[in-house]
Amino acid sequence: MSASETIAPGTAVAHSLELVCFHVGIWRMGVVASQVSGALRDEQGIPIEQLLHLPPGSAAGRQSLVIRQSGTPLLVAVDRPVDLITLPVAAIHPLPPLLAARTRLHGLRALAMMPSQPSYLILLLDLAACVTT
Amino acid sequence: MSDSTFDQILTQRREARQSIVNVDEPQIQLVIFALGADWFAVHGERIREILAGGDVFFVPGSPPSMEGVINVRGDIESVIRLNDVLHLPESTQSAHSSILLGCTRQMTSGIRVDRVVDVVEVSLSQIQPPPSTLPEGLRTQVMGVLPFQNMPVAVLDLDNIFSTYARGLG
Repeated sequence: MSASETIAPGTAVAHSLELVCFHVGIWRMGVVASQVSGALRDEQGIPIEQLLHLPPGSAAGRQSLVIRQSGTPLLVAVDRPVDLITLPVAAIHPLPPLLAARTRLHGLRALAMMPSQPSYLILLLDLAACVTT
Repeated sequence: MSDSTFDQILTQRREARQSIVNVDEPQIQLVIFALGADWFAVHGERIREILAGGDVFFVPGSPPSMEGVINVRGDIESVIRLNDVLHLPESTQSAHSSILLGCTRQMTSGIRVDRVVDVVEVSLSQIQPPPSTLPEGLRTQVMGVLPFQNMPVAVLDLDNIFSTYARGLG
C-alpha cells in the first residue's frame, strides 16, 4: 500500500505478516511470504548479493527461493537456514528517514525487530523490485 | 532613630527597588558535546534524549557516515556520525561516547558524539556570529559560537545538518 492510500473505515487491517527469513552473511533478511512461491534445496539461483549490490558471499550452505514476479519466476540463492515466521505488525518499522535517503541496499523497504528478540534486526526486502530496477 | 529618618530610609529603599529594571533576556538551552578536541552544541529543544549506550546495528549499503540503527524503546532510529558529516577527523569511540536523539521538524535521528560536556541555559546575546575563518565543511552548519569554559563552542543548525545529509551531501 502506498503512503498516499487511505484505509476505508471498516477495512480489516492485518495484525501480522508472514515472512520468509534467511541469512546473507551476518545479516538476517526477509521477504514477504506472498512474494515467495517455493524453495529449492540447490543453490542454482542468482546470488542474492548480486541483486542487492553487495560484495559476493560464500556459495556454501545455500538454497534457492523462487520469487514471484511478472514473467518467469526468479531463483535467488540465499544462506540457510530459511524460516517462515509470523511477525506482528508492531515489529515492522519503516526505514528511518536518513537511512531511507542514503541507503544503497537495493530493495531495502523496512526493518523489523521481534519484541522478544530486541537485539535481532531483520532487513525486509522487496526482491521483485530488485529485478525491475 | 527618629521616625522621620526611618521614613526617609524606607522611601529611599522603595525608590531603589523601583529603579531596578527587570530585563528578561531570551534564554536558550544548549546541549554541549565534544567531537575530538572540538566542542559543539545544538539547541536543547532539538534533542529528545541522550542515550548512553545500546546496540547499534549496521545496515549494509549505508554510507560510512551512518553508523547504523538503534532500538529506542520500540522505535528504530538511524545513528549518524557527526565527524563525517562535518568533515572532522575520525575520533575513537570511548566509554564516554553517547548518542543524542536529535529531532527536527522533518525527522529524527541519533547523532554519535564523543562526550556530552554539559546542558546549559544561556542568553541569546552570549552567542556570537560564526567567524569567517570557519572551515568550509562547517560554515553552513554553524549558527553561532558560544564562549564556554574558555572553549569556543560551535552552535550547530541540526535542521540544516539533517536535510543536507538526506540530500547526500554530508
